[in-house]
Amino acid sequence: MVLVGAVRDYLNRMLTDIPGMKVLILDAQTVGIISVAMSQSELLQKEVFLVEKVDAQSKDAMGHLKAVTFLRPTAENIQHLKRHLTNPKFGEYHLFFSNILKKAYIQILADSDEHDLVQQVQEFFADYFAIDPFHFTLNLSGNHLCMLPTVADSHNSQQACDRMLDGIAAVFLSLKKRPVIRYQRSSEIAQRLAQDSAKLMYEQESGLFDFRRTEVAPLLLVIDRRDDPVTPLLNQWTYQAMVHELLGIQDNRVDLTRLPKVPKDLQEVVLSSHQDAFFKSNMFENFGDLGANIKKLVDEFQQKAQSNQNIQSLEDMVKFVENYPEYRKQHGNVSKHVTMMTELSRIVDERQLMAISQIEQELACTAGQAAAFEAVWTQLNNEKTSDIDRLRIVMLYALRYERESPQTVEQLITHLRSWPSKYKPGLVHTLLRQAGFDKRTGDLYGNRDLFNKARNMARGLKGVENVYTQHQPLLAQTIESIMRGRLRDIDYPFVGNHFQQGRPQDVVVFIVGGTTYEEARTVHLLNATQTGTRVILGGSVVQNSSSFLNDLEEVQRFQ
Amino acid sequence: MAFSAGSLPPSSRRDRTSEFHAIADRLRKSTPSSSSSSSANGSTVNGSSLATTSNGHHHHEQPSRLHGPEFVGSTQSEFNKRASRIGLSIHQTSQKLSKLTKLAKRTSMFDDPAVEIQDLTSVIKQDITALNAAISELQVLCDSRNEAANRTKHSSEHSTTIVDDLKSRLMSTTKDFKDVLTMRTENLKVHENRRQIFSATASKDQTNPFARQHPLAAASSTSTNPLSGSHAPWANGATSNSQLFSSRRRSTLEGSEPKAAQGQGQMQQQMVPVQDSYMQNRAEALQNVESTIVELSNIFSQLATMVAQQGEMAIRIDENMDDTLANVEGAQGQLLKYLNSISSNRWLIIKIFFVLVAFLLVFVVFVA
Repeated sequence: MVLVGAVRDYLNRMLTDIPGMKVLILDAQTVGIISVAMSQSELLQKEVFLVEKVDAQSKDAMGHLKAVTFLRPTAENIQHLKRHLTNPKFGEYHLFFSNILKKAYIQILADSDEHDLVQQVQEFFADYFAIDPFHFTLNLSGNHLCMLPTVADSHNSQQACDRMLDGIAAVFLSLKKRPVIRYQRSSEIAQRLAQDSAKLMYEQESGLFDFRRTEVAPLLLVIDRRDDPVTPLLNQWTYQAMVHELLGIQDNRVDLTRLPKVPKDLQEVVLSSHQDAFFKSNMFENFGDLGANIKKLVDEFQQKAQSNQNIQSLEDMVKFVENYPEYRKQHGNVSKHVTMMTELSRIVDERQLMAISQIEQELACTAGQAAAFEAVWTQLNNEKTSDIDRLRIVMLYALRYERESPQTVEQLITHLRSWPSKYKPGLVHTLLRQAGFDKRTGDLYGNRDLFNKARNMARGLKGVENVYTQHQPLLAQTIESIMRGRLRDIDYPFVGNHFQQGRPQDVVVFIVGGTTYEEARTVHLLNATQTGTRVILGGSVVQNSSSFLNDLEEVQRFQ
Repeated sequence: MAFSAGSLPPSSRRDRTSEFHAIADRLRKSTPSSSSSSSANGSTVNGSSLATTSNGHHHHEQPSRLHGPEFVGSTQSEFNKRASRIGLSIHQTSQKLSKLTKLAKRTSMFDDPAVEIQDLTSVIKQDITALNAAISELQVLCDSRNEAANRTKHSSEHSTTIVDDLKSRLMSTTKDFKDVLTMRTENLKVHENRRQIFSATASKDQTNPFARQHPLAAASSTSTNPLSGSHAPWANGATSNSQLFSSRRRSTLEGSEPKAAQGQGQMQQQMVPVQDSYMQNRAEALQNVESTIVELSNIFSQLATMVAQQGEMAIRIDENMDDTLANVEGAQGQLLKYLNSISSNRWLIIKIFFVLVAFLLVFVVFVA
């Protein structure tokens, strides 16, 4: 429970050290940060009776409450706080900031604290959304900026870069580590981010980052989403990834309001690995196993329901009343997962995802241009294929065979134009420009050197367990080479003079442009094998195919 | 999960409350202590300390903590005050200097503001000497403060920079002053030359025209003065005019000479001493200016040595150190890289060798 644990630890210290009734004042980002780590009822247990946005304009003063603010140190928040302090509503103010607070801001705050209300000013470095124990995101707005060159929109791109830098710094501060930093050489923004982090950690705030040295320094690797454009384009078949791909997860919450036939209490459900035991044990299971597990869950629940039904003696009644809250909770849980499962299988049937996913996996994993072209062509001609699926398989084909047979790629794109779609077919070209063969560093398809080719062939001979989940993201390969100390210095250079010898114990991989839940699963499985290396994955957002395509559209608008 | 929450050390955080309080207190001190606001502040402080009796010692502690920075602040402000005063007077001096430049640039020969220039020059000279003294005093103050313990590197650097800057400003002002004075001397010399040209020609053919003109000049004393002015050629008229003027002055100066002695021969004789005294005046002014320049150059060299002493040496050493550091770091990096490549290559060689030996063995055992 590394990241979630760190955030919860911060919250505990923040809220339990201050006795009495409290009001928690948050901003738009910290609301999310807290909500993924702690539930409302847990907050209530810590005597938090009110949660307010910092920009809320309520007038009634409540002098008996103590205000605990947890904000990002931005200029707007400081202005809001200034307004609070000059015109106070609460009896005391305890200021907590989620990142390094500039000296000028302290000055402004001290200047506006006319009534001597500020009790403490602290920096608690929880500046990231810890959605899973080893997976964090930053929910960066304007994620497409990661794909644009800096000059296109320098102001916003600087802001995005600063937000990512803050997130990375906060992760390392809460882990109490100072890493050596490597980046992917071919990506401009990865290089910039890596150099900025090095500057922050080794020059500007070197005192703050001066923790006890470990034998082998931890590693921060900054890579670019564009190095592996295939993973966000694939259909997913494991529970968490699938829900995100088909329904969309935002801060561990799934919005079901758009769907037909959903009961009122299930319009927004929480899918959090530390609050929901069933989800925790099944989040990385594939769709088939998941069905079986849900069946088991329903059976168990049925048994319990039956035992609750035959109430005969007074004792039974007492037991029933005692167990009723638990029963209600379980009921909610079961119906949540069943609803989700029904919804997922409905979408899978409707969009014929089984067939499409098979083509996708073959495009991603096995070579064979002629057969692949045939399959893509027939799938394009199928009336029932949705527009996003058409675009995706053409994109996957283009990424794979852009060099082997460019004329078939063009053929497919022209064919794509003949179908009505809300996406422009030009996106395929945008994708190739952004993440084509000569832009990538890593060996995405395992065909760049002899060793990888041989390994691919060996895997082909062994056969695959499950056709739908045979794809391994590029990240798996990268992490494997880190663990063996074989990541090439030429492709992934170090920043500054901090080199690394041997295998790092802690690795944080930050993907500029967003992670996917498939990669989160890979990281989880690696961590579970107990090799002594702990990997934490982070990114600017969590991508699914539609968000990735939206980003590409934004990029296309700029060009 | 392999890594439980219990095994984790508590995450890091930074407490900046004390920093906040320090700034708040400083702001409160720095605001002009109008009685009403300060009393209000006092009452709130009292209120809060009453309310939180448990950490009352915390409040008690604050004043003592504040003494340190305040003390440093006072000497700092003393230094700042002095520096700003010096800066201001340098500015004023340079303004005066620009006025002087304007005056000195006037090239007209007759309307020569010699007295004003003299005055201004002396004033500026005094200013510059005073400034020089003030800056060296400031330097001493700065040095003494730098030597004193618990000075942060930045603030001492800052004060040194200020002193250096002031020095260079004074230096440039002095330089300007010198330039102005040189210009003035040049001007004077040019005037002199011109005058000599004209007066020489005048004295050459003075004998005749003046002899001829004399009756007119004599007549001018009676009634036909304007007529003579229009009548005479320009250069001659001018000389005659000036001659008249100077002669009148001379006559007032040397009252002993009889006015009636305006005879033709005497007039001619008088020309020479008049020119002479004027020349003397000029020479005196020139000498004056020259002596000022000499003095200035003294100040100059003094300043220059002061600046040069500190600047160059330190900078050069610093640069060399930086270069060396960079070189050493680079060398270390290269060595590490080399080590990496060597170690991996060695393994490869050993492996290949091993394979070769194995094959050889197989060959020897099974085939031969």
